Amino acid sequence: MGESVRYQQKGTLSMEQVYLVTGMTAAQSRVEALVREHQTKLARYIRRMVGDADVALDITQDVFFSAYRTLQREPERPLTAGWLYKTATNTAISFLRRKKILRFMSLDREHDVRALRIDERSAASIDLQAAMRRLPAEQAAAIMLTSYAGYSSQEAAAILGTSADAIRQRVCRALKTLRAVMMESV
Amino acid sequence: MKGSSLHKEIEALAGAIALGEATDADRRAYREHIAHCAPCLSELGGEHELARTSALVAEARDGEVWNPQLGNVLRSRSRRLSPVVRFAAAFAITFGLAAAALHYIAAPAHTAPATEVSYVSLDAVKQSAVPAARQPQRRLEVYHNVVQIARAPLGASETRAVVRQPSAKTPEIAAVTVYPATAPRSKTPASVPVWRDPVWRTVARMTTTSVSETSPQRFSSAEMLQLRSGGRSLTNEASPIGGETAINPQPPMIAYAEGAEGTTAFEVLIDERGMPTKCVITKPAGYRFLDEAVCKAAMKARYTPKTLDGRAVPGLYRDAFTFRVSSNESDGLPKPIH
Repeated sequence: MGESVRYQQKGTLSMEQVYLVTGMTAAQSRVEALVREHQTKLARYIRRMVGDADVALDITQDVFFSAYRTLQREPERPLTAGWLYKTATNTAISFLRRKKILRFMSLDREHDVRALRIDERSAASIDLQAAMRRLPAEQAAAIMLTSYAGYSSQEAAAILGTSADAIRQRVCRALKTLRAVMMESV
Repeated sequence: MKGSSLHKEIEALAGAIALGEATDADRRAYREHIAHCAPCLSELGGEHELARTSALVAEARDGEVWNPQLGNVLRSRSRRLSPVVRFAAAFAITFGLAAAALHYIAAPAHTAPATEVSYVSLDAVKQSAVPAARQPQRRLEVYHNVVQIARAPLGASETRAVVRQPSAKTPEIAAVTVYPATAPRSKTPASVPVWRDPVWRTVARMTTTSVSETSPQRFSSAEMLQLRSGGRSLTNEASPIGGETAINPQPPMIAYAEGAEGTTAFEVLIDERGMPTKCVITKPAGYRFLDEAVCKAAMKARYTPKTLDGRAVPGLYRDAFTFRVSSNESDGLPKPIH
């Protein structure tokens, strides 16, 4: 009786045993923990950056997958939320640069609204999305990392690779644009 | 060069204030800078303004309900298209649709494919059926401070002339005092600072001889005019043409954003042609742009000059405006007069 139970357990856990042998389970479990903890916040952040929910989901997937590959290569490397946001920001910025060609087609507010769910269409949400569309990618990243994702300007500077004062300056310029958008909607 | 680096510093200060990382010294430095740098104030805004704009981002974040679940990232990735491929597909589809639309426009004889048109219209209906929930906007209300103004009554119908009976000792002197017909009733809430509280106001005080049969010819010309017009005083203070609403201050947008409140009292010197020559703020509102808006409006209006004995003379017009911010219509405040 005990023998068969143990055998069945072995059978069901065989994949995990394979992972154990090859050393993959550490990387995989760490990535899964990262996904569980950060997927919602990270996806929302990317969606605000790129203005499209489907693209945001794809980029989020890519970010976690590259985290997985990094952990495979260097298992001892500590991957924090900051690393995830850095990768996400870089991916989003390069996506925005490619997309810039198409920006002229979608300058109206109605298009911005479509990026949001119906129950998210508050004035603040719409104004923010409209402003994000006009901001240069660096300013958008600065304001989203600080005011939206909740990092301090020092942490945001470390993520984006600049100084804290540069982040504050970008935040100030982004707020200027945001204010202009708010004024238009009055 | 120095100017641009200073401007960068100020922007960094503003960013720090917006993020709530500024020290008291930073805030003081920023306040001192925008106090004398009008472009910075209008471009960057005051501290309230920065905090409010920054709070909008947090408000948008807190309102999010999108809760995506990625599932197994490591397995499902291969089945999804990469962003680049998706981008290319979106590009192709967009331009395909645009080309189709162009084709349809250029060749109206062709009938458009029914499916495509219905899809577009269905989409449009879906979008228009869900109006965006907008929050009520803040308004800046301007109260024309009738109560606080030391204003001469404009028409004789509103006034009653009281001729004080001359005493026996000085029978030749009578003082004509014009009272307001009704005591000024407080129309504005008590929180508005009352800077001047006239119960009554002497409009004209003239020396005249006693009204007696023996000396009817000793009336001055002003008295004659007054008698002919039925006891009506011909001395009128200067007043704007078109009534009180002729002066319509337009505060700049920053006043709305900053939520500027206050009462501005001012005096305008009116020359004998009715043109305003000088505007003096007698009580500043605390925000210079409010004072400037009021004076600008006062200098733009035209006035009926002060008349003394039927002659136009230079005069003074006093008035006050109260600015207050209201967030919605039904907050118990009285309706603005204009």
